[in-house]
Amino acid sequence: MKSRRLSLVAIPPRAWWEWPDDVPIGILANDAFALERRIVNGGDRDVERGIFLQLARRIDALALARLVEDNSTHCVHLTGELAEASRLLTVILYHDERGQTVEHLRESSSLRGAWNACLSMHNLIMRLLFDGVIDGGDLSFDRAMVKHHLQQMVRGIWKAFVSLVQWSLDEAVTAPPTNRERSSRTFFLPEEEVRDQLEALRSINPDHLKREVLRVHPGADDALVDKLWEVLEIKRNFFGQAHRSKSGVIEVLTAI
Amino acid sequence: MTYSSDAARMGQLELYRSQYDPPESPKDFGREWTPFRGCHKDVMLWVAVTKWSRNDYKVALFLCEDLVGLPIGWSVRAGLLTLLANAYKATGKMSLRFYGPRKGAKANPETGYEPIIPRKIRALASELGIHLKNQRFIEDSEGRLLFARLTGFSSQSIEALESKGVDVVHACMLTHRGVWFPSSIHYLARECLIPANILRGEAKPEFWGIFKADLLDLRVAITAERFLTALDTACQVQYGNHPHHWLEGRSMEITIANDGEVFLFGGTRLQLTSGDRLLVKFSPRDQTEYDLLAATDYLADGKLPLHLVVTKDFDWVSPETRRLAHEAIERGYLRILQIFETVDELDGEAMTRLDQAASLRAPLTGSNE
Repeated sequence: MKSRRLSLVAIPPRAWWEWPDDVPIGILANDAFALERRIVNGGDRDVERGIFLQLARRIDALALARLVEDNSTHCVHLTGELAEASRLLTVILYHDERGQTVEHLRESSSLRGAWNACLSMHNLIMRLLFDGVIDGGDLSFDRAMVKHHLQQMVRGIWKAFVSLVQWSLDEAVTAPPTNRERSSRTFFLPEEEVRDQLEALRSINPDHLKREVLRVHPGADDALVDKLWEVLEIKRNFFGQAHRSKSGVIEVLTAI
Repeated sequence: MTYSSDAARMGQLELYRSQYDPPESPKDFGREWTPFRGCHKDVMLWVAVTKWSRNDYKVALFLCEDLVGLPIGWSVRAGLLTLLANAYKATGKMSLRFYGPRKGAKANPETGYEPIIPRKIRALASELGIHLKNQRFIEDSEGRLLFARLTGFSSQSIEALESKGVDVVHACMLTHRGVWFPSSIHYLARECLIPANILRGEAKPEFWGIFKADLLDLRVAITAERFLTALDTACQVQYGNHPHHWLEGRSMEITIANDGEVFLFGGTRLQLTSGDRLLVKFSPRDQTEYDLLAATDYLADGKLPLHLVVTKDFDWVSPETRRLAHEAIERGYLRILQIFETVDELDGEAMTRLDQAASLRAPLTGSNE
């Protein structure tokens, strides 16, 4: 049995935005979310990932330091089988139906597919126009003018369309994370993020969980599903309490 | 395995060299019989003459000679490893077909000189615990197993890798490229939920919930490599000469192969004698984690003193953690050894390794290359 411990730490709203004095946890968490978006949207991924790693580690360390500093901090520790079950639960919720990760899912999303289809269509039309396949030969006025106006019209429509698709894509990637994306997160801002995570956890029913477990682990037995369900219940209760007290939540995995 | 020499058969190589070496054009490389030589410094260790198509890798001649100053059997190991890797590159399989004259016919360069698998290769395979089913060729599955065992993977490691769906050849390539030690790959295969993600370099830190669990394992694997390298340097041996195996969790048992000494935390020295057994536990943590979880790290089973390997972050722990450590050290069941890197640096190294694993490229200055 692997010696792991998952600590669920609820940070009260006041501490979330004001503790520690130098840079509060809330600011760090917001920065981490921004970095996450920048990594997904492109840019210098290596650099962003390095910074994200440092930030995430700092947030984990602060959550543990909070436990040492303030004994009254609401916290639940999962060890042994429960910690392993929690890890498996994250993996199960994180992988999509085809066993691919969220990032792959993003790349093959319908929007991306539409975008690629549009690119292909644009290339085809422009090639037809410029290669002279559509030359307006049957029309009664100057062929060169027809071709020119046609090109201008296609370019105009194309520009408008590009703007629209670009805007839709931007909306999609800056939109709130889906349940699957959220499942790989470990820090949740007070109120909205905690509520969303609570809803995501509540949306899983036993049948759904069993189906997902069998998809990832075809030979899984009922005992494993029960263990995962137990973890799910613990997490639901914890997030429920954190939501009622308007606390932020940090999940810290440590080796013991 | 005993000292062996094929020097008497070198005339056969000369026949190939006069007839086929060098190939008339680069496109003939492999189409006709192609001689290979494997050298150590200025001395030839092994030679082979091979020819391949997209599905078949034929070996017409395989000669090797052990050198004074090198361990016995190195020449045949090096030769076989190279042939298997070449076969994999040429055909996508690790299958070798040895080529020789039919029964009663006379051997010449065209018919080949190896009618059956050479005795030395057969002896090496049986030494590694692999039974070769056929007389004339090594099957793909046997070749893969041989390649993994020659790379340094134990049969338990191979089993762990296969049970988690990891391509053993890919794991071997990671070792040969200097990305991971075989023992690290064994640990990652055993501990990670989806080790293929790590070994293919697909783990991404932005999915922190998944990545953190893997990162804990990566930190342990890198710390273990650092410690083994330091131990090799202290005892002046090459990697792999200290027999070691992973125990439960993050612990490893190491048998010292040569006398030496290492520095302990606090400035004292630990004398190591050949044959000593060390129980080592790797504890790569940051300062906060040490303060919170130090007590769990100091636990030992009582049979052997625990050698706890910590990071540079241990320098900055609280006085209480330091006091606990000193108490355990004074009672004689704990020795603390420190690597020079902080957790931050270990994480940076982990990211580098993931990048290297993704491209299967490591700098030539790699630690074990």
